[in-house]
Amino acid sequence: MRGPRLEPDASGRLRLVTGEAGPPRAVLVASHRWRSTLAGRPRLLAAAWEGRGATRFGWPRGGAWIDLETQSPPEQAVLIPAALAVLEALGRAGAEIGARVLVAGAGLEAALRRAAVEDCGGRPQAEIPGGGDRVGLLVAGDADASGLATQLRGVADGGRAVVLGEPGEMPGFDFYPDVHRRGLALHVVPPLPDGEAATRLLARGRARLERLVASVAAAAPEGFRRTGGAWDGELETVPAGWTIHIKEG
Amino acid sequence: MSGPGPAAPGGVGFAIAGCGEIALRNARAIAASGAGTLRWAIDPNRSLAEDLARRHGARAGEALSQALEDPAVHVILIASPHDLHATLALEALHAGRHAIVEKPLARTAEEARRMIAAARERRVSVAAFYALRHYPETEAARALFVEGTLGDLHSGSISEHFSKEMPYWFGGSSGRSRSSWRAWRERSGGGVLIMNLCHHLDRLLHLTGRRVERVSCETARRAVPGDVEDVAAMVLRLEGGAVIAVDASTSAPGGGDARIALRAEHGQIALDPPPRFLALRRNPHGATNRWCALPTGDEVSARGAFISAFVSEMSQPSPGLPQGLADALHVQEILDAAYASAESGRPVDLPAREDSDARTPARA
Amino acid sequence: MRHFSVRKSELLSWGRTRARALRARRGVRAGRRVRCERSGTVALEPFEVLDPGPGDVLVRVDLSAVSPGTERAQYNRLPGVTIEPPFTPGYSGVGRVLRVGPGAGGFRPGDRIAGPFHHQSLETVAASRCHPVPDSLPDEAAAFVGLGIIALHGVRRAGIAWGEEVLVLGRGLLGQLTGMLAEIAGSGAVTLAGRSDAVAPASADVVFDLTGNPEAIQRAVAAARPAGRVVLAGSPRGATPAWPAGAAAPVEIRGVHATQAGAVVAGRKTWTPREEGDLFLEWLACGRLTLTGPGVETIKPDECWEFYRRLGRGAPRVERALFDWRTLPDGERDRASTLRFPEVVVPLDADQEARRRRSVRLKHSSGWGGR
Repeated sequence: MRGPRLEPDASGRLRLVTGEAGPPRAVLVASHRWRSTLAGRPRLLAAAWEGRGATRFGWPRGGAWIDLETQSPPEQAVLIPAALAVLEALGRAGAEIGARVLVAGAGLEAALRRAAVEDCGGRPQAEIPGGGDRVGLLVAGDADASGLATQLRGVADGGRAVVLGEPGEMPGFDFYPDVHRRGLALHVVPPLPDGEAATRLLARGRARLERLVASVAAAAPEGFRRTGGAWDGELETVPAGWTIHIKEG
Repeated sequence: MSGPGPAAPGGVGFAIAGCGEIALRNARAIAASGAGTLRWAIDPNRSLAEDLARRHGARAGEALSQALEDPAVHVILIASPHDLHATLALEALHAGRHAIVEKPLARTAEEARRMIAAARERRVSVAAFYALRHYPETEAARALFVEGTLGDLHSGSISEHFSKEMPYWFGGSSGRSRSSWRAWRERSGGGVLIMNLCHHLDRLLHLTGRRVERVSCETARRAVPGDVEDVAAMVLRLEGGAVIAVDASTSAPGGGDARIALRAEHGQIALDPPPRFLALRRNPHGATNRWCALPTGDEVSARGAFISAFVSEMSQPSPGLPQGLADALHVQEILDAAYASAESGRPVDLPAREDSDARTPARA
Repeated sequence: MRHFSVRKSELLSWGRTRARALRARRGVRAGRRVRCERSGTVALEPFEVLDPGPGDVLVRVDLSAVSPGTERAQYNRLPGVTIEPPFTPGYSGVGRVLRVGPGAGGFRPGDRIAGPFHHQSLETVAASRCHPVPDSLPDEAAAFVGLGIIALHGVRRAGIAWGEEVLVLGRGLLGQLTGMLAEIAGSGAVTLAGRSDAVAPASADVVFDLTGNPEAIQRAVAAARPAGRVVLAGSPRGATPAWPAGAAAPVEIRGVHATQAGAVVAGRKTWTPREEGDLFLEWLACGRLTLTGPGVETIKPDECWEFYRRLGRGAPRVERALFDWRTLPDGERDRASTLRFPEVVVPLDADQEARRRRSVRLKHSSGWGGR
């Protein structure tokens, strides 16, 4: 299926182009500021449609569109793909019960990562610690090389870091001082899961996942934009971070 | 972007773009000159910018645009890798700021001309930071030529050989900013010719007041982890017929003292340590028929003197091209010709002086 | 008539050493060491060590091994190198025990031991960091114990499972040792690849990057299977450029550094560098590990600068090299020095003498402005 996507119009402004499934009820858009550019680079992370008895939701991955169903309302369903990616990554990195986990940042994205860490039994903290208080695990979102380096300094020698993002977005990263010199293990994982991993995880804990995304929605209400009417194709300029756009009525 | 505000006397605001090793000396020179204050330290490597800023009570930034937004900044001192000289200078000049550019002015004469044209269009000043001009021995030696004590220039020898080992090519002499830009022609414009001999070429023009008419050059690359030359030998023919032999290398184990001599009809000058002169005619500066010492000074004072002179001149722009800038442009022309000669294996003639009023004659 | 200069730094160093010796009530011995005194300049110079204290041994070093990647980076002052001149390079060698301090771990004078020795003819070092050398193992192999510890630590940290396919980027000595150890650890297939060798994408479960080249990390990631791991065992010198678009497979990049040895818990056991080194020497002695490839280059210590200039340029490539301290006269290698008086007054060299004479002539003439 050809899913919805963001495309610039002739004047360079981003529009939502609805795909074969028609206009969604909610979309999750991510944009980030880089040191080298002044504007963010918005990306569509997920979209959700109201259906009969269930919400359909999907996300782009590897040029294709992945489609699944949930009982969560559309504005929460759009968080499911990203939540699955974090949970899968935490499983690979070996999150331990009760361990302190560094999850820096603010907004919807950081709230989701913190909720996922707590759901695995970890104790998330936002401040970057130093010295003997450094943690064993970091969960970082899209960050430029400088931001990631700062966060890695909060990880103890021999610790682990999960970076949700595309490796191509961290040019100029120096692996020497932290990863190599201090023996850290850096897990770079795509911010959205593949279909097989998503289906597997959903089968294991659908209800628990739906409670997780509901809690995120409550923790970061500032990340939601509600507007009326149909999609006229144009999205307002989004600030840095994640935003869930919802069409009401 | 805001333009500069008015500068109070002694209150000219400086920004340094490029906070590597030479920036430390330039910052000290700004303080020593008394002509102004360092307000911004700019470098894409934030830790270098913060270090320089901390030493001089300035602000740190990663892009030149940050300093250009400050109306208290009047002069940009560019101490970046050579390939950024033109870009940064043009950005500063278009924003109505004066610019001092570390030597060489640019990678090529064409880049240098673009910078000069931009400065003239915006009615601001640009200069190449050839500090050797302001050393006491240079000023004294120039006086000997200008006064005619030494007579007509016959010949000269400039020879300088360094032991620039591998660490230099990966981070300069101090390793403060670790980058291999010096080893690649695209970034540096060349090796020992443009990096080291440019100083002596500029000083030669300043001392003699003569343009170079012809350049013959050979270069070689023996030990550089890049594509620039580390051995060079040139023969220059000057206006009036003097012949200057120039040779330099950066791959000489143990290095060696520089040998810099200019021989004229009635005496000669040697600028290698200790700087000295010999004159066969009576003169107010020393005894006849024997070697006499030239006065010496230190680098920070010389750089400070350069900055003071620039600040004075920038507020009183001259109609023509300032002599120092004309010489800096001619240095680029000589270097272009030298590289062309090395590539073709043939001497290269330089165009004759366009404007005979643009230079002050060396002899009275 | 000759003229002289006074070496104040030599005098200070002599005084400080004797003050330390007096406080510790130990003797002083003199030897020679390779010293990078200024950036890019290396010389063989005299130096002094104290006799061993409690738990220490004094070793007369016979051979010290060059770690080409590390020492080239230090000499060239590449990004990531934090050591500044003056320093003595090297961290692996073999020699004979000269003297032992109390409680020195069962070593006796005359024992052949390998350990973390610098490129110098004498070393006072903690006995707990040294390894007895099996009788059947020649010095030329035992000297590489430091590199063996690094390779073992890297393979241990990689956690190779039985049957996994391993790719090693880097064909130098560390790469060869890593490959051999990966096979011992149970790998189903081990491939070594040099800079110009083609590497198939997603072809290995574990990829070791020993190149020290920041761009090689991208190559390593591309070669790892999805959910595979890259073991970053070589020190990358500089920041990695932008990764190719689409390099989105999940991948783990595991950093490994010798200073973290002793922190790896495998099962219930923590492996110390001493245990890693003992194991390495044991496997070398019984032939389970071999140092194959081109022969070892031996370097005369007084030709150290020429060697480092060559090493810095990278051509021709240095694979295995040893400083041979046995080529020095005995009196320079090691002698008692407690009552030695320092050589602080030295004659000027020819260049200095010429400059001095010129300055004197000018002084007798007039200065600028005089007649």
